[in-house]
Amino acid sequence: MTEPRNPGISSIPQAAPVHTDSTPPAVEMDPVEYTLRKRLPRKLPKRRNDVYVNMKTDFRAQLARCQKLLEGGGHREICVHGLGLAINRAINIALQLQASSQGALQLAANTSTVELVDDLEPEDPDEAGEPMTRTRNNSAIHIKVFYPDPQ
Amino acid sequence: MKSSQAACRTSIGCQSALFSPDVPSSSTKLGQSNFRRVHSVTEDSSPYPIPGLAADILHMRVKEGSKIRNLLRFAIARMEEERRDSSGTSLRQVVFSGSGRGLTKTITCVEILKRKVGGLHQVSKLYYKTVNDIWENPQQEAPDVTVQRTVPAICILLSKDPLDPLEPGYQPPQTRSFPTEDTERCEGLVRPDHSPFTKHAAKRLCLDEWRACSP
Repeated sequence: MTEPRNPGISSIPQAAPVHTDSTPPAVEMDPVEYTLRKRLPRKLPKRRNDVYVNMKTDFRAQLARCQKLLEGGGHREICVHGLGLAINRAINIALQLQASSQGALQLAANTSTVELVDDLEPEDPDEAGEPMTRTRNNSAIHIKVFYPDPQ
Repeated sequence: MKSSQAACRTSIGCQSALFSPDVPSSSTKLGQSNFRRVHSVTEDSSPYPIPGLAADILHMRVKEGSKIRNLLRFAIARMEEERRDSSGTSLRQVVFSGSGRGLTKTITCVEILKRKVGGLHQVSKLYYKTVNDIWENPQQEAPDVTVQRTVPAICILLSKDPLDPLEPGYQPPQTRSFPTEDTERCEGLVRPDHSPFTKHAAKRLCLDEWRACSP
């Protein structure tokens, strides 16, 4: 497959060509070829103690950032979020933080579903294909890492 | 060869997963030096990390290769079965657990099940699972090597009955219950014979359907 064309729209950085036979059966695909552009997930409110984990940044850097927030930043609790593939990494970071605190930190994990939007753009503008959007769901995790209040 | 295998095992407390959890460094090193992983033993110190669970609870173990439709078809059948005769087998709670690369799948299963069976209370727990890998060297008569790995794991309890809201990791039932396009798609995943897309349905029916969902 060819490299994705220049998106033109700067807010959509990820683009991947799609094979027509491998798409889920939710949307019927006609012979016109489409380019699948994944929009970025909807931005969630970000507090100073929120950490959104991704798969591009180095694991150690993200772990160090969390440690800094808890130790140097003076936060009693931080929230580690992970979406899709980054769930694994978010859990790993949270468990690492707990392990290195010698049991002082507690974890409270919540799961959720995030709706994502894909844009389907026709490859050839001369053909009759119309731009479409498709929504799909992806799992997410939100882990609160906190020092329990002394009772 | 086989008899000496259990007798001479050297234990190496190699906690590689603690420092670089994304890269299985020790296993690749062993793999290069002609070692072969014989089997992995999971240490089960406590059966569930969630307190106060019955021993005979329905436990869905989600593995990397488990099919979501198989897991959910089984779990949903068990949860609906209870509605018909409430006197006999009362299934009020179900536990999903998974580790390593099956983590995302575990969460996806729980999220779909919560949408399909409404009003479920949830408690999620994260923990490290200790796995003992036993490696043997088929070429040399060297003793087998046991490598201890820790993999991140999740255990999620779903309950029709209310749970302790103060328990860390508690989530109340979701109130929004409008049918979206996705729930229809999930229905197609769970019951492929209802899917209008015959090509995909035929492909799915050919697969070994019930292997992954034996309890």
